[in-house]
Amino acid sequence: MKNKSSYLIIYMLLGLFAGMLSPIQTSINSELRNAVHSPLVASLVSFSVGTVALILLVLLIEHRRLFKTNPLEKGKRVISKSPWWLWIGGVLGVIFVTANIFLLPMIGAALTVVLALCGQMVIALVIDHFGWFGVPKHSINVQRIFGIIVMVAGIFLIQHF
Amino acid sequence: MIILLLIAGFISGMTIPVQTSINSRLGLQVKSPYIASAISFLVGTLVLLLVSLLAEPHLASDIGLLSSIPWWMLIGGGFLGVFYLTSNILLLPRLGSALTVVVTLLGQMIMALSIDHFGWFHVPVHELNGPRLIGIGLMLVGVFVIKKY
Repeated sequence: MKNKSSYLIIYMLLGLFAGMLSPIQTSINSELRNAVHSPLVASLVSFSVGTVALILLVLLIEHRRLFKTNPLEKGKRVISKSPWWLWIGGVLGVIFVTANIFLLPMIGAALTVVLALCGQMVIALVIDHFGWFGVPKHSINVQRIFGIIVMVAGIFLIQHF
Repeated sequence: MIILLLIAGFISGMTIPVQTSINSRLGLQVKSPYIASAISFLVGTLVLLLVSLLAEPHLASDIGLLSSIPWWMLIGGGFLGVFYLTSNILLLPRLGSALTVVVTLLGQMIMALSIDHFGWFHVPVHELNGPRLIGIGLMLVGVFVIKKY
């Protein structure tokens, strides 16, 4: 049996690899956009393929849980007692993917990645500060603001050189 | 013009943590992050279909163009997106959120700089230089500080 730290390295390599695929995904989607002349249609193709892949994955991993109890009955129960915003996560994903398809060929891969990252960090701090969506509250502090300023300086360098 | 593009990139990034927060709540409700991701993608696809029908006057001919496109371009984006998502779901409980963000981000930066440097995928060539590397370093320091405190 392998020890814990060698597993940690394997997990970290997997994370590094997964991260490397992310700008390739956006680049492929941008190529697709040039081929079909529309960022919306490129996004639609990407999301349709992703949906089919995820449904297959769910059938593979969760088939026992899915068919043990009556899934329709269970689905109705979840829908009736959940807030409406629980269902719109995918719409936000659509905005992100479509915007990136549009931006990457114009401002380059590095700038697209770092800008999204900065937006991500700023709003994450706000969500943490107010404890929105049921996340544990984590107040904003000097170090966190310093982190944002350092990121903005980084964006400035990447954009200007 | 460039400032508008920069703002658009920033705002698009702002959607991500909201999406992650919503989807992890959904994951608790349906008791599986995979089912939550599938629902999220399905809703996204339906909304895109609707928006495309309304906003894209040449939708039928655009979709007709798909038959002449290489297979990797058709399925590549969707599959890589799902791979990225699934890896994050798997890694989060094993590496913790700070380490997961930093390693996937490092991978993103390495690949994004390579794409710009070599001009892969028809992106305009933008060679790697000292200030760009420092900029990437600052980004990683910023993320690390925010995650740590």
